[in-house]
Amino acid sequence: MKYIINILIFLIVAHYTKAQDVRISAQAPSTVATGTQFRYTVTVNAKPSSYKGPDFNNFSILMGPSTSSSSSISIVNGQVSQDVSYSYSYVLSAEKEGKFTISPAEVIVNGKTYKSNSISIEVVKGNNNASYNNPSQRDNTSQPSTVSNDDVFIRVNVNKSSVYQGEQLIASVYIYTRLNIVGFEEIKFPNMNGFWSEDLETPNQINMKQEYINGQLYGVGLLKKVILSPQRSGTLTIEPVQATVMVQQRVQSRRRSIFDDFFGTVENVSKKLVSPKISINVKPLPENKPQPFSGGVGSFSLESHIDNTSLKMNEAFNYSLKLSGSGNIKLVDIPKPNFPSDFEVYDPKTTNNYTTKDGVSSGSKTMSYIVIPRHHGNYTIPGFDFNYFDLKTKTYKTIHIDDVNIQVSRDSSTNATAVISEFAKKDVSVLGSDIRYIKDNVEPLTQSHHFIFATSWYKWTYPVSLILLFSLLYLRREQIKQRANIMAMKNKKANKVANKRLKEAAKHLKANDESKFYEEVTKALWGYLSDKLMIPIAEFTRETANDKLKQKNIDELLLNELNTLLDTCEYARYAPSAINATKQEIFDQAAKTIRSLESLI
Amino acid sequence: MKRIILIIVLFSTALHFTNANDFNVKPILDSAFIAYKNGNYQKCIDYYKQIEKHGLSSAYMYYNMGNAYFRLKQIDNAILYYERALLLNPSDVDILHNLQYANTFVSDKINELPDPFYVSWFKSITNLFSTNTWAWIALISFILILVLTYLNFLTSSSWVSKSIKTTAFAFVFIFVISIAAAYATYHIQSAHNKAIISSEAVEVKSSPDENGTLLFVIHEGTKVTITDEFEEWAEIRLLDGNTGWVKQNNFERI
Repeated sequence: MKYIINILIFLIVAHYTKAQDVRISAQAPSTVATGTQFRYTVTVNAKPSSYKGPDFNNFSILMGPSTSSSSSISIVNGQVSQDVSYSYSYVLSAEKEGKFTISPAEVIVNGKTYKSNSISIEVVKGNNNASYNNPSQRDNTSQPSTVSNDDVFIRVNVNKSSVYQGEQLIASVYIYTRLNIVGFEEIKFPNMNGFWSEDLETPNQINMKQEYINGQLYGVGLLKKVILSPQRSGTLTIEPVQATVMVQQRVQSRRRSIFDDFFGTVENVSKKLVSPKISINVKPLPENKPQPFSGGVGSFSLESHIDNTSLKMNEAFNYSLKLSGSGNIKLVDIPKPNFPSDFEVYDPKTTNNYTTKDGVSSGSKTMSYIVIPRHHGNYTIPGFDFNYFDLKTKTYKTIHIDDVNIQVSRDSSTNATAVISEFAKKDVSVLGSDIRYIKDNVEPLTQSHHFIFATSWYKWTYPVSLILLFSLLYLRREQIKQRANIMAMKNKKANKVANKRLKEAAKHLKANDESKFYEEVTKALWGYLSDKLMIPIAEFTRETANDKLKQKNIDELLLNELNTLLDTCEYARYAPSAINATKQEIFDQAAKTIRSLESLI
Repeated sequence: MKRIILIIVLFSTALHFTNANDFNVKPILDSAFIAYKNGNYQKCIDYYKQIEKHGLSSAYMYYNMGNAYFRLKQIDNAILYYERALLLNPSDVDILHNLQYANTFVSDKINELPDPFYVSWFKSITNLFSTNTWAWIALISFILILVLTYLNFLTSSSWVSKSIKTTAFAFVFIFVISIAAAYATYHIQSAHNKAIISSEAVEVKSSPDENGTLLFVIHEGTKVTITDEFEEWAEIRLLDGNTGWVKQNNFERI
């Protein structure tokens, strides 16, 4: 019973499958060598009611067609689906070289005829060890004892060998082998000196594809693919890639057994591979480079965007620059706009979006600045030029970003002043440093290297003025000394002079010449005092004389006597009649006073 | 009285001496300033060089030349002229600032040996005036001392004599400082033993000989002191005390 239900379900399911599209495809390798076996398979995803194989005109059928079928039923979310696959496979072998086409196979499903694709196969001349992965088929006698450079090698392919500086190119590292590679011991990729490089793909598993080179069938595997951008002009070299691989090699055993022919004896041989150097001719970018040059090579577009141009102070706005295009976009710097220095500018947020297609990087780069104006007023974010080298037209192109005017109005909210004072009181920020400006007035100009210090007149002024001082002092001293001498002389002679005067006075007394007599007596007294006391006549007064005499301890009596005598003489000179004493008495008194003074001084 | 006449005579001859060479510099100075203003720095230098050729100079003229050289990115010449300006006016802040700024462009970073405190004090005093000003101060204070001494001799009043003596001692102090400062600055300026390296890179050898051991390499703009000369070689000392021999054509004396 269960069995019947199963059959019923199967039939129902099979009924549904009839509605599916019928797909038929033929598969075979695209290149084969003469004498090699290969497989040709036709696959249908439905059960065909009849099958008609293609004509294999130029190939001999070694085996086939052998039929196999598989089916699977899956139920997903209640949906039942069934996959059926019928395949017809042949083992073929080619005898002649050339390019041949295998005509389509035909199947009839539900009364309809479906045709498969036709397949063209290139047949090349094969040697007997045609299959790289089947060393057991290699001819024993032609077996080389070492792995030749033709068996395994590495090659670096570039898509362009002559580029402009900054233009991108793609370098792919391939391994070519005719032997079975067991494993890689080491792969050393060189430093790309002079290039900016970026890995495009480095497959973990190396997929071997078949390719004919010089009539030889090779397995080809991609080791690495990089995108290169030369950073300087001239001839740049991509240094060799070095690798050590383990290859399986059949060795000739000394004792040949019958099994050797069937299974072979293989051993793993390590082989060092070095790829040839590759030179890239890098052309410099043309002269007349516009300034500032962004370094961009390719085709670009640059846009600026501002979200608000009329705002209140302390309100943030967003200014963004978007660079998009293809070329060395990753290496291009978006210039920083010259924001007014009163703006608070935060570090820009950078958004990158890159893809690589057909060996050219493209994408976009966005720099987004958040800016807060801290003061009110009208500001301008100055525009700038973005220059790049266009690869299509081979010329420099300029994108101009326009000025942006921003109106910042006063914040009318109540706490505005508090906010202002917080930000307004800041140090004057040093934005740059430079030399100070030149002086307008450089005068007075003087004789270079003219030092009065070194001139002879300057040096001589010192001793000369010193000598002058000393000689003046000397003269002065001499003068004083001389005067002192005169005084001393006068002192000595004072008594004599006084006596002479008194004798003269005595003469006048005899002649009875009163006025002359008194004059001589006065003169004698004055002269004596002056000489004796060393007071010059000019400075001589009664007071100075008295002071000097007191200093010399002359007693009061003698002083009074002297003073009355002097008074009397003076009085008598102008009014002689009023004198009581006789002339002889006065004369005697004067002589006596002088004598007593002489004894005392 | 005689001395006063002598001083006047000396003064007038000194003034006369500078005026004698005073050819018409004003238009040249003006055109140099305008050339600088318009960015013709080379022209500006040429004008000033004309004046320099006549043996005339001033601190600010050298300062302006230094600025022009700086704008032409000839840092070694800029430093040379700033140093020359500084010799004539050692305390000018603008010259010091520009020299300091230009020195930041010199590739050799040499740590200057610090002066002992008394040397730096003395330097800060001597830097107050130029050599000639110091010389005049010394001379005048000397003559005043002599006059005061004579007056002291004449007077008999004791308090006048006392005040004269105090004043005279003050002038002795001034005289000693000013004559020392004049001598020191004169010595520095006339010695001509400071130089600025003018070649881009100079190898300093251990001996005055091409085969001498290479001691170190100095670069343009570095200030050195010349301590000895031998044929076409000169022994130099860096500010950090290192010495060695270089060819004479590698530097320009300040």
